[in-house]
Amino acid sequence: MKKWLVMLLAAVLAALLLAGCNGEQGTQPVEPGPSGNESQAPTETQDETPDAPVERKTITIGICQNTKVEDYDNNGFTKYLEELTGYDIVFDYFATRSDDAKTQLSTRIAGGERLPDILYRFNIGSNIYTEYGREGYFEDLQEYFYDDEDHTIESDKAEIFWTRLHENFSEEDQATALRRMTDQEDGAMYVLPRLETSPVDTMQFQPYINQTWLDKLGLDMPHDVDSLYEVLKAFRERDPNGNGDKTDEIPLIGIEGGLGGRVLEWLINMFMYYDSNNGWNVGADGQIVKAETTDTYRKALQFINKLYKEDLLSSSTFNIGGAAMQGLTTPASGIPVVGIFVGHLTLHVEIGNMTLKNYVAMPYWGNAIRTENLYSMDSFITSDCEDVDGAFEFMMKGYTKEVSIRSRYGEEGVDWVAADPGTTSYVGTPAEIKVKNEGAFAGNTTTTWNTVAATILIDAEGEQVQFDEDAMDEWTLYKRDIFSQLVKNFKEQEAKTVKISTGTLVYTEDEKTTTEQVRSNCSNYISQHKTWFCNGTKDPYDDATWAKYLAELDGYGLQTWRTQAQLIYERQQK
Amino acid sequence: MAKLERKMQQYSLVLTSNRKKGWDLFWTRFKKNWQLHVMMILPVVWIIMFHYIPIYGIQIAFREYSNYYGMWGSEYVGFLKLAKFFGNYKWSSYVVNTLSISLYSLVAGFPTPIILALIIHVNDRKILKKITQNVSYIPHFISTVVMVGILIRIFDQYTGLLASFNRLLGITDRPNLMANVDAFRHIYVWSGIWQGMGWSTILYIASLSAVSEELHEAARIDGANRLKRVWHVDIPAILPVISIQLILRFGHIMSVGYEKVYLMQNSVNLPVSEIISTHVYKRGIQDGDLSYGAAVGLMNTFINTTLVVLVNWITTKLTDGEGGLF
Repeated sequence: MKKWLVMLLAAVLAALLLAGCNGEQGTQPVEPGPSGNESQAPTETQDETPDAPVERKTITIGICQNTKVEDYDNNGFTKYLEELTGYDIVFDYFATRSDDAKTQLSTRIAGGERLPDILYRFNIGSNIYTEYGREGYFEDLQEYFYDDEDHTIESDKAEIFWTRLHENFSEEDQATALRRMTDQEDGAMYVLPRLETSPVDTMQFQPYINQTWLDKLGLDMPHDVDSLYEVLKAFRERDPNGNGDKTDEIPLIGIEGGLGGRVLEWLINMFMYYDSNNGWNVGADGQIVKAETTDTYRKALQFINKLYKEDLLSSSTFNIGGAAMQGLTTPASGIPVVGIFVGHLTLHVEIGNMTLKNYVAMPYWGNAIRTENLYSMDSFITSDCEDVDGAFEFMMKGYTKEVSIRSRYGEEGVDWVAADPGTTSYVGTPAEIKVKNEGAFAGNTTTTWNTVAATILIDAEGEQVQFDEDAMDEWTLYKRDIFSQLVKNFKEQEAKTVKISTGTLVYTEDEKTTTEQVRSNCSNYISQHKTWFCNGTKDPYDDATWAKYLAELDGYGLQTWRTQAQLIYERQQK
Repeated sequence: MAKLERKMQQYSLVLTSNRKKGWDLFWTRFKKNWQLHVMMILPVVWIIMFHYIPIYGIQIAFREYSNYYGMWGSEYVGFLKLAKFFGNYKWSSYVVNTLSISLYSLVAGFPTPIILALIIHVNDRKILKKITQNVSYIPHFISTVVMVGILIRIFDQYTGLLASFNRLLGITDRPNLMANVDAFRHIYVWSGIWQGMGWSTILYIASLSAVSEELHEAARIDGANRLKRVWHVDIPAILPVISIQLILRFGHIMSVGYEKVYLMQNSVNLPVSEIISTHVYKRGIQDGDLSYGAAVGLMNTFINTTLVVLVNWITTKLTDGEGGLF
């Protein structure tokens, strides 16, 4: 009996082991091909009914699943795209966080698994997509954009893209966009971009101040570094929320990094032009300099260090998460404990919580800068796609104005209607549409893929909207007013800002290889020291410490990098 | 007489066994204990599939691996990937951070389950014993993500449990421990001890329960109190298990798992929280440079193996050949 029991158990375990070795992934909607590079899709769906009138094609879209989108398969935007393009969309879901999705993609490629036809809004960075492109995982799309090898004749296949690009972007922005889309060395184009001009989403830092506290303490709106310091000090010391506890106020906080949450950059820009995305500033003589090595930068760090030491800038700025931040800016108690916060409003406050009414948009001074209009280089047609022509056509349809609006604001007639002629949007531009239901892009949605997973679009229409006051709640209308003021403040200051950064420098493969280690070491060193100087781990007031910082940067090859960057900058200027 | 016959039979069996060599011997034993061998098949297959066959893939550490070109088609680059690691200006801090976390975990975490196991073992109240065991096992089942989530909630500078407790006591200081370079290692290690301490006692409790009651009785007659019996009976009895566990732990000294550290990382604690495995995860997996990950992993394995051999040698020497693993 025991023997048979042992044998039975062994057989069951063996079966389980073999089942565990089965390579099929439950979450993959499409059967993996025999190798990672053998094309299989899009495939024509096999309709088993003999008299099926129309054979529809299927396209597989790899997408980072957004938690606010409740049901991609039955989503209104999915149905809209299917009707528009004639394709049935099959989703291949990746992780919500881009870092996790990048890991998933990397492991799927390494495992030889079949990729979806299109990777949609996939933020993996130019180095990685160029590498995947060169290795043959992504299609080279240059023949779809151009009719000649010299890239001078624009192809009709991309007519929608070219028309929208020329209509909505300055010549400088167009040139930069194309430079980022094109690999300098062999002219290959692996990426389909998402271009956006929406100020709210492209402003690098968005500050908000507690007006209730200012009024209570009889303070004016800060207008320079000194008055900012005084206001923060008053927030710290004078118990502005009036609960008798002078220690529970947080004068200044933000989420360092991420959408519009660059607190340190906002503060540094009060002293000098500083765009951490580029880092190289151009002097009057045309020579470039690393912004983080200048004396003005050091002064900015000293100021931040002072705020940090005096508990005016919260140390949680470096590690707080979105939910915790919302609990501070818009707590359930209705008594906010934050004086100034920096970040994208929609992410940093709780939707519907009227505590928001304590805050107003804070004016800029110094430099107001935004991320480049060339917003995301993050969609790809993979080499596993069998019908690249069809996939490209599918993507091109996303560039129309109609799809742009539909992807952001939902269904016409339900979520929005055309604006009355001659009326203005909430940011003062001519209005295109009147939004009736903000839920399509701000809350859980069944009608869009949320702006995070929106279709490829040129988002010039992003802010050209009115809000239907009869259909909107008080919170949404107040948020609209804050945004309106914020954009106005930003644009005023942006007009005064003299942009002195080099913009994106595009390295050839050789240049990348030559300085890869140097760039990595210097960037990491600078980034780490920025935090250290701000939180006092290293003293920005100490000359010897600063001299050592500069010397070590040189030791890691900063001058080699500078020389190379100068050459690339000059080449791009031509 | 019957006793003598039995002895002769046993002696004859031993002689027969000694005469059989190789396959004959194996086959005889297999037939006798075939059930055990069948049970061994699965673990052996598992080890071959997941631990031996992948050794073939080590070569990607010396190639610019691309799945597109395959294992043999990818360009051979020698030690370039390892040179890249040592070219990183922070490579030494990755090693130091890994070692400090690992050694700290070892020093603080290794004796704790032994002490807990002894406390549970000497306790005579069965119900209390069972409750203690169950309560201390439960944290083991909390996933790493949830564990770090709990830590973040506890140590949140403004709304955390610690902050609320401080407020209750009238302490106005609000330390942000999750973004504190000095606190990182302590939080990492002690939360790990709390989580794993109970589960790790299982082995020691099992060993302690096998200690002969006669030894304890003899010690009692000799006048040994409870503490002395623990010192002179229990600890020597589980010493072989302790030494084997210690040797095995040294085999992982350079292999601190990346998950918990990665989840606890932020820009402030990065100087102490960036360890080899998180660096490899970022460069090797996230950025898709598998060769780099393999090269650094191979180096790690080499160091771990060396340490195991070294510690085993030291243990064998110290215990006159009794305590070594091999």
